[in-house]
Amino acid sequence: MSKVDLRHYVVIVAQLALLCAAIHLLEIEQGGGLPRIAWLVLGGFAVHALLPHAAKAPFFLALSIGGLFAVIGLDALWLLGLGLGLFGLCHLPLNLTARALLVVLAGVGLLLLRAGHWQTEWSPRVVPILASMFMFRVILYLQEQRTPDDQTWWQRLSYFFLLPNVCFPLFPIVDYARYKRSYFARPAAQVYLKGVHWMARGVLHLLLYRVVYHWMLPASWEVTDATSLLLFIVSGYALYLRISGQFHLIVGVLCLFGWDLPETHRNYFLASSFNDYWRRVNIYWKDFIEKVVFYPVFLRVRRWKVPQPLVVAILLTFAATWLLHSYQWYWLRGHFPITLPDVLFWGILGAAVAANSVLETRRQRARRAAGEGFDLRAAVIRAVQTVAMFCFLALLWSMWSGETVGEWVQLMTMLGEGSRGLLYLAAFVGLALAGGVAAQYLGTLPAVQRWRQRTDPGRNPGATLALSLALFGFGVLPQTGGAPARLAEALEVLTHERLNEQDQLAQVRGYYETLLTRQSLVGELWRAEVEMPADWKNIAESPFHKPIAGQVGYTLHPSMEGTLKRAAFTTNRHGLRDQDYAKEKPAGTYRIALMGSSYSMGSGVADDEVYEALVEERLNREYAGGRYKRYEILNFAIGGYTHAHQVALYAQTVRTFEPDAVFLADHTSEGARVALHFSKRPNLILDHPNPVVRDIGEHAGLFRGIGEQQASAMLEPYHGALTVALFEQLARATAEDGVKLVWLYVPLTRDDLTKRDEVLVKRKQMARDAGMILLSLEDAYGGRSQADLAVAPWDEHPRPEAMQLLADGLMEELLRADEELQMGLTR
Amino acid sequence: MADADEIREQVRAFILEQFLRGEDPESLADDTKLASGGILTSIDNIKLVAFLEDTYGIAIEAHEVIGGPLDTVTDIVATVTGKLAAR
Repeated sequence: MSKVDLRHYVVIVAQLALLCAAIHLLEIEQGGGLPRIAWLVLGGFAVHALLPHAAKAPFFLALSIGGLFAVIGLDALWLLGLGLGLFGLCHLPLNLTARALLVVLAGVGLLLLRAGHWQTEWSPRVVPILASMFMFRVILYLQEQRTPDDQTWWQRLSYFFLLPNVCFPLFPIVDYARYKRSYFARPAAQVYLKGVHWMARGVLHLLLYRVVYHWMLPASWEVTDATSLLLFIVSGYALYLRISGQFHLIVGVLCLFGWDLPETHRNYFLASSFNDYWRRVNIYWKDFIEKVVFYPVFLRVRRWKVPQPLVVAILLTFAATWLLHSYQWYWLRGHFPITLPDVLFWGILGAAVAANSVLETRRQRARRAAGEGFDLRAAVIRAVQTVAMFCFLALLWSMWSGETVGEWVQLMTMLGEGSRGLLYLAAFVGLALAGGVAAQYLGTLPAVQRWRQRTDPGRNPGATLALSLALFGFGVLPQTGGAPARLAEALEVLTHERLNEQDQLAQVRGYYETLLTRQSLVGELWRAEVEMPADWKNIAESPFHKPIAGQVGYTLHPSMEGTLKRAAFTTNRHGLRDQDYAKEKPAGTYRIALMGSSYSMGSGVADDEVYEALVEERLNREYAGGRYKRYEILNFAIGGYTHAHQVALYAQTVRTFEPDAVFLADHTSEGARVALHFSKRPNLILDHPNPVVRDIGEHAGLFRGIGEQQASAMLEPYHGALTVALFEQLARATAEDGVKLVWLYVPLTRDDLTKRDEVLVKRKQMARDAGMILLSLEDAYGGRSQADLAVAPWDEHPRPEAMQLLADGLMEELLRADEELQMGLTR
Repeated sequence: MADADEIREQVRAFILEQFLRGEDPESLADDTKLASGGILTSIDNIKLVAFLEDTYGIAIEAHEVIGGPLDTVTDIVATVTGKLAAR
């Protein structure tokens, strides 16, 4: 059964080669390391398929271990050691209960490790990946140990160290009994063809996900009326394509190595009832929960003569689902969520499935025999049920993905804004119903049924070959050049793994939870948390953070030494992250006050590695003693500060240091950051000392007590106006003090260059209009990739080398603008 | 006590009546995969379990419900007769 004929072998290898090239070109799941193991999958399959049966299992295990090293390097040794330890506990010469207890104890130890209670030699990603391999599978494995197990040790170990798992911490729960049963259960060629087809389908889902993520999903501040709200709800639900794409890829790979596993998802958007949805979405999770919770609970409560045993069992099953979801969340993201949206989501779904199940038990199930004609009434009913389910689940999903129920309710009030949204909804429902009925009719036509059979990938690999070729071609297209500008821009987004604007903003401000991704393992940012050390905190979560009253809101504790993000962090007596300076400017000194946020504060690098410190050192080394005896750059930047903070900071503090020039660091995301700042605290805009800013708040319709989401939506059209108002306020204040005001553009390491320039032009003009001197570090990074610039995969702030690039760029700009700045650098 | 053939007929009749109404009885072979073949849902499984427990006075364990002891007519008959014999 495990042998494959030459013709199929060549076809499958060709398809796989195209797919692996597409995965590489399109950066599919690059963050998880998939392009790296894709070639391992190709080469491994090419060899594995030709091996005698007895050699396949050990080869696959070796390949899986090789995959660990390819993705996480020498940390794989730690992971293997811990994993083998857990596996060994399952096979101690003790009864099953004792072994299970030991595994639980070991789990508690790992739990404490995940919480960061002990420092370890290995990187933080080891425990989350190890947990993703064992947290559910060890339960199923131990359950199966009640019966004789004929698997070889290679197969048993492979069950835990499955090759794709290192790239996908979120992994389908492969049942051990099914894992044993499915191994070359059908002729190899059929299993392999299914595998490569599912991999292609997975890549397609992930591309569709990118379309939704970048082009359909509005940022939270863009949800301002019914139309944008409906788009937000539908596209938020559609982001689930990411999970189904990943799972198709994963199980596809496993099929390539002989496991004839069933699909993990089956047209879940087309569910026509709650039970139907439960049976279509993440089927492996459903099977796991039924095996481990539902059936044991049902049989027990039935024997105890508990009334409505089915309802009780289902409700307890969904309670268990909620808890196990949070358990999984803890291992992958490092915290255990207990939130109202979570409780409501699983509670509502559980109640709906329970009610649906009671109806099912009372109804006789009517099966349509093959060959029955088209029934219009039944088709319309089915279409209505499917559309209604889609709408309800999209709504429920949006509630689940929100930060709080209150915020979600506020979001829903946008339904009353604008009349077009409801028209679009009606049109969508109408089209969906018509399409649903038409699709069911077409499905009964013999010609369509014959076409389906012809294009079944198990029988005809042509369909998969065509799809693989198309994906490969799509990946190659940007490399050919010559595409029209708009298409090239679109391809640039689709063919690279990158964050959308909202997630970029979330990462810069240090919050890994956005309105969309709060409760979801679907979003982009959570993956970074898998690797992030437990002690990697933002300034707001550190002991340096000092809240103060007023528009500034917070500062740093003075005269503190410690670390931030594992780098030396020191504050001087004035509460600046900088060396010490006298308050009164010494004679013959050119003093610059730098105001900025986390980039300028130097989040993630040591005190002497911040770009302003490097520039200050170079100025004094090369230019001091000329026109000026000394140069000072006082770093007033603090992580999380926006221009709103900085304008208030100037009035309150900076001016008292008598700077010659104030450098205001700016980023492309600054407009949105200011608006978000005021959205969280609307009183700050309503009580702002600047009447222009107050007017903007009133004009936008803000009021005291307004929720963040609503405020954010109202301020969305005013990002530019807020920036102009704050720039002008600062320009007036510095002009009164005789201080030069400089606009300093500091690029983010993740700046999307295709979008950046458009924003940069606007912000430069605003700065110019306010009378600022312009300095721009837009070319400082020299086209380097984010991976080469960021301090860590989970933290986009510049690493020391990138800080040096910024410092070099700033020196060039200072020399260029010396006549305006009058720093005496050019003689 | 019912013998194996009687049990087989009763089980077949139940499955055909409850889950395969309108289908040709010949389509239900003794080795047709029920749960693992997608013919039975989880609700169907518990109906089947309730039928077997109530009809024969036996106790079905949770791990017997999925893919194995109750996955085909032959498996069901063997499970029931085994439990009856063990009583």
